[in-house]
Amino acid sequence: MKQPAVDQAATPVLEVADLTKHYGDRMALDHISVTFSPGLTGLLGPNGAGKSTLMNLIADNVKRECGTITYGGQDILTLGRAFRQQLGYMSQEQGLYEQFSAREFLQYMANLKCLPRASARSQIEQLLQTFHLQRDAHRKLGGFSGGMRQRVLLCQALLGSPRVLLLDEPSAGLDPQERLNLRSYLANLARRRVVLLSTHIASDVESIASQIVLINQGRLVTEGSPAHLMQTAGAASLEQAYLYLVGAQQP
Amino acid sequence: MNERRRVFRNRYWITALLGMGLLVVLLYVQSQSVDGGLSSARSRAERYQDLLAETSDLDEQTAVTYLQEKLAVAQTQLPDQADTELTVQLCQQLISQYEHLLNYPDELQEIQEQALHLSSISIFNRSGSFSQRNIERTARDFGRLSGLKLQIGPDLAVTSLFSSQLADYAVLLLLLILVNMILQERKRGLWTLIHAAPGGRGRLAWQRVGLLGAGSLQAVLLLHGSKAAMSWYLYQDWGDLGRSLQSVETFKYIPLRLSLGSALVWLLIYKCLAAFLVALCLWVLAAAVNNLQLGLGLAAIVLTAEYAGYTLIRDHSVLVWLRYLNLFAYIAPQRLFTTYLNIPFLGQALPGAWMTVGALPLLLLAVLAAAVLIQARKYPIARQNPLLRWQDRLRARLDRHLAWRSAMGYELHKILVVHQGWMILLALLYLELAQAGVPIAADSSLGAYEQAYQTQYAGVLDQRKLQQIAAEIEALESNLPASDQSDPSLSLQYQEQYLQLAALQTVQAGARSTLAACQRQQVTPYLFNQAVYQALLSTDSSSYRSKAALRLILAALLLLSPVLAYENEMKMQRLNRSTARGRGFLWRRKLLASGLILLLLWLISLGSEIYRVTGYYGPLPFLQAPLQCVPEYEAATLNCPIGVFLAGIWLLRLLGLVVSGCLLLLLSGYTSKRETALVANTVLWLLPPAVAMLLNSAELSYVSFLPALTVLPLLLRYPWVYAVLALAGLAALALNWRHDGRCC
Repeated sequence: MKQPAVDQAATPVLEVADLTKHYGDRMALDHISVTFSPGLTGLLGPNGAGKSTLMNLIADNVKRECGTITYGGQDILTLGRAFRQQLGYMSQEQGLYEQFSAREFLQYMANLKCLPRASARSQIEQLLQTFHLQRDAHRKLGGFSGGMRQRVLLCQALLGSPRVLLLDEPSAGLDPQERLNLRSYLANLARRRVVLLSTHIASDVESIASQIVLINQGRLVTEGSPAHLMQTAGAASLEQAYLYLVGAQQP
Repeated sequence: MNERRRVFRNRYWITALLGMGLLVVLLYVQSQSVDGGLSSARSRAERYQDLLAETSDLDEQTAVTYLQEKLAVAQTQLPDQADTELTVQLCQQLISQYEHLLNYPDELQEIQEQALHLSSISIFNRSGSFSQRNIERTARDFGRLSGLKLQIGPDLAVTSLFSSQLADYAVLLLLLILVNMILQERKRGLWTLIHAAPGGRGRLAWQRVGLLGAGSLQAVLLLHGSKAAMSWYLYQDWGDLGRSLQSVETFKYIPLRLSLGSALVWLLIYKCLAAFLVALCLWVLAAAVNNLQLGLGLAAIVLTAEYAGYTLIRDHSVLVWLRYLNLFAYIAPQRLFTTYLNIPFLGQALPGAWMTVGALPLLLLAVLAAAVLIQARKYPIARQNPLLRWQDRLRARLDRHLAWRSAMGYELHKILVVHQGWMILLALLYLELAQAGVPIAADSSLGAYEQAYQTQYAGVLDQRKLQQIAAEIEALESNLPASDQSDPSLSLQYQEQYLQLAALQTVQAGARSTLAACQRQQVTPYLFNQAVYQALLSTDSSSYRSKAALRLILAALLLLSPVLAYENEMKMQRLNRSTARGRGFLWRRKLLASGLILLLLWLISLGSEIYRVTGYYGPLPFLQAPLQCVPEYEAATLNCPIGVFLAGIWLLRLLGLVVSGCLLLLLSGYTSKRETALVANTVLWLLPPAVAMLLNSAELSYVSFLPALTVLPLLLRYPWVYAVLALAGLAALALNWRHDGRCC
């Protein structure tokens, strides 16, 4: 069977429409509809708001109940492998093979991402250097600190220069310097990509996000540019706006 | 209290304890029976007790004569009957026991005479020399035993407890598991937390000492206790436990006046204390290094070195004391306690076993202090171990070149390197080549003649060949000398020629029967040496094949159980699934890698079987001959050559193995940890065949994969089961695909 293709010329938009998900009786997502254009979108919300569920639905890690997710106008389930070839995903849980070295792990992921060996090799070395992992690249991941693991997971998500990047709490466990590095790296990267960064720390995305999507208790609270959100809330910073908007939702 | 609950209520500890107990009992029963079953072991023990009861009222000399007569009668009967073989074996055992009772006083006397004689030789009697002290000490020690009254009893019931050291090594394995469990906080990053807690140092150290003591006690009592209980169940009686220890031949070199019962109690106490010492040593070794894996590696290296010392140092070596002050002297002490050897110590001649026992309390105190100090004082964060630094450097060099693999290569790497499957493959190879033995075919004297005649007349079987055989029979009959019991040489000659004649007549009958069977099926009859095919195709050797099948199941279980559970344990499912090839492609590669491993297992099993059987019986003759030429298959309606039938059997074994692999993978996919997968698969797939073998129960064996991998009995009775099995394998694959390959 011929695989559907993704338009290679420009980065298509990722659209989520009427997305709903239950875990038993609990509603994790309640008819969410958002359009993610190229650029960095900050997905903000408190713990348990449904950010990770939304990410997992886009990565097709969770079975969809109702609603659609389209990329370039085509449903991602129809696109299947063609969509996943454009996807970089970093999950919240630090899942990695502890007995592999960092370089071995990245090579393994490159293999699963169908990257040609030569290109993968140069990309891996470049990413290891960018995230200051080169000195430890040969060490087993089991001996890595939480921050180092996080950086390795970021490296694997960025492998293959994906056009859709889903990063679930990528700054957790990073030191301030690494957080700054990550921000500037993502700001550069997001120009021609759809980058979806989930966090509950507003300052992580305030300066770099072109769009903020705020969800709480599975519902979309608001969306727009950081400036728009601050204006709506009448707040001086995104963090205050976030607290105001989320707080207003509380019973 | 919490620490005790954490370890002793842990399901891995309980499973390991029960699993080892079962294994020890299973292998004990196997060693006590002819065909590996419980009922056979029981009847062997009953026969032994009956023979003992028949002779117990006789004096030693009369008993020996009586048993020798019984032995001679048994030996004249057809020797390929298992019953006769058992009688011969048990008569020999009892003769040896009675002769020991008869000869022991003389042996003691001889030791004294020898001492006197050696003292008169100048090179031995130099004052203050070790030789002189050794002679004096030996004479003094054994002099204490003179006049000792020995008594016959069911020694086999007692000595069978010492015949195998498996329980001792199983205790060692349990202690390693215990130490690993105790030090889990290092693996899980909790060490700093525990070290910072108020009771996380000295108090915890003492708690853990208690834990190791209790664990050692549990291991020793359960493993040795279950063995002793099984011995009691089989023999029903250990005789008079108040009789002298030296009444049992195995203990004749222990120069102590002790009753058998008290010696057994002392031995049990010694084993418990020794196990505690070994546990403490392992703890010290594993805890001395911050990295747990390295610590356990260090413990393994020390154990290997100690074992080498224990087995390789000879009696006359100056380093012989290293054999007695050795961890293995505490792990498996039977060898030291059943031999007598004086070694030089502070200018004296000291029996080695005394040194081992005497050092036990001192070593216990020293290792206990070291263990408590390490637990209380060692800092969780320290400079990186030089060994790890060295390993890091080596990895850095190799990583760039060796880390590139295909998806398949990665999956094989996980099975063989990450899960250490290479060790399981090596162990299987060792077991298959060195321990498996060969299936028994006609190996009696009659069988040997039969084989010789079959080889002589090998080839296409026709009337002309039958006539040649008949002519030779006639010639043999006419040359048969008269049996003359008074002339032993003539009697022997008669027996020889009679056996030849009987063998040729058997060959003739077999050839006629083969000819008739082949004529019915309209295939060309062949005559050839049947031994190798009897070994490979006879249903009589199904016990041998069951053991081979059990080894295969065990290896497959150890290798494949972690395959999918590992992904769950490492929480890699989501990440993998988000990649282009992380779904169907990765699942198929995992399946393919598992299939390759199964193929390798099958090849090891098949290759070693062919190697062993052909090495013992010679090459496989006339593979093109029809199946009906093998006597057991004369009535078979299947029209195929023996070679094809053999290939079919081996392929069906592969099918059974592949289906079992599919089911192992299915369960592996549903479990979240490798250990859980291993335990669940063991309970489902290994326990039923192990119990079936223990009870020698055909019915119970059908609840497992044992018949499918043993092939022959199942193929001959219910061939359709293989179709069901293939369907079960496909269903397992489909379920597995649904769970791990397609969706989440």
